[in-house]
Amino acid sequence: MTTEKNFDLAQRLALRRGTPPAPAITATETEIRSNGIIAIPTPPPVPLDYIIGHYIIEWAFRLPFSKVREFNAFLADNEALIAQSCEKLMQGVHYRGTYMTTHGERLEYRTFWTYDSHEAHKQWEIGLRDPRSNFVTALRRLRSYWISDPNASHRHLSPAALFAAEPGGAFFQFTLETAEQMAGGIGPARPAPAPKPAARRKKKTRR
Amino acid sequence: MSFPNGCFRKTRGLRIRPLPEREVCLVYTPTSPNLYTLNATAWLVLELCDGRSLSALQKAFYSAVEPLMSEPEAAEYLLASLDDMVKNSIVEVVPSARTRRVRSERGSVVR
Repeated sequence: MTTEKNFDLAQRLALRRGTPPAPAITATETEIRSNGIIAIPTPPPVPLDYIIGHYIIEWAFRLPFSKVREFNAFLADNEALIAQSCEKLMQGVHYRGTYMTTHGERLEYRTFWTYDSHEAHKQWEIGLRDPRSNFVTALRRLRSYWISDPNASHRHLSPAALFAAEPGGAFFQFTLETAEQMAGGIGPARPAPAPKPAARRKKKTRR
Repeated sequence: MSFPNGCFRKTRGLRIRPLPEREVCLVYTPTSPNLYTLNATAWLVLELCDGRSLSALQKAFYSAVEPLMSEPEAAEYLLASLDDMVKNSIVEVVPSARTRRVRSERGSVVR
């Protein structure tokens, strides 16, 4: 039973964690009695050690040109303080820098924060505890630039690979299925037709 | 392990059952009844054993895992895997087609 499909599957699985693991062939216990199972361990999740974070928060904002030099100077003076304070005061919260568009586009800034876990958001209660600290002062000023843009956005991102097995909730799954149905040439998804009522029997008239 | 003229192929009657959700495949060897679990790397090697010579296998396996592995690393994994599979009767070594042809020609002369 060698097929190209099997080869492709084996190759995909061998490479999905990066460098393939050493080959392993283990004899499997076959003496199965009632209630017995063949014990094949579930593989651990793929380690996403290449990602910038499991949860990413992106602030996108624009500033008037008159504020650009001021803001860039603020970043140069305060980014290291913000980044190192995050590491020191909180667990699993990381400042990953503020970036500006550099070629052609309309000037725009993006600030990235990453979290090691969803629970790490709660660490801000510790990080913001002292409102007069250098960290909170710098952070307040950074956030004020974001606030000054009425069209600023604040987006949450997660690695898409994490959603390969579970597409992120029932409604999102429903949306994907609908889109896939439409792409499959079925057209806009319509509700299933209601069953027709049973036809009445015609009365036989005796003549 | 040295099989200068050999080709590698799955043993007759071998049963292969992929378990992709566990990233392994199960292999049953009816000639010496046993069940084996192959991890994805060993399974990949097994899928390549369709009568290829060792050098052809080395090329094919390397092209399947490059650039994550170098040629020597891939060759090492391949040989280890083949060694295990031959020992466990999952894969067998048969004379190459060329060797078989030469042998049959010699046989016809003797007759």
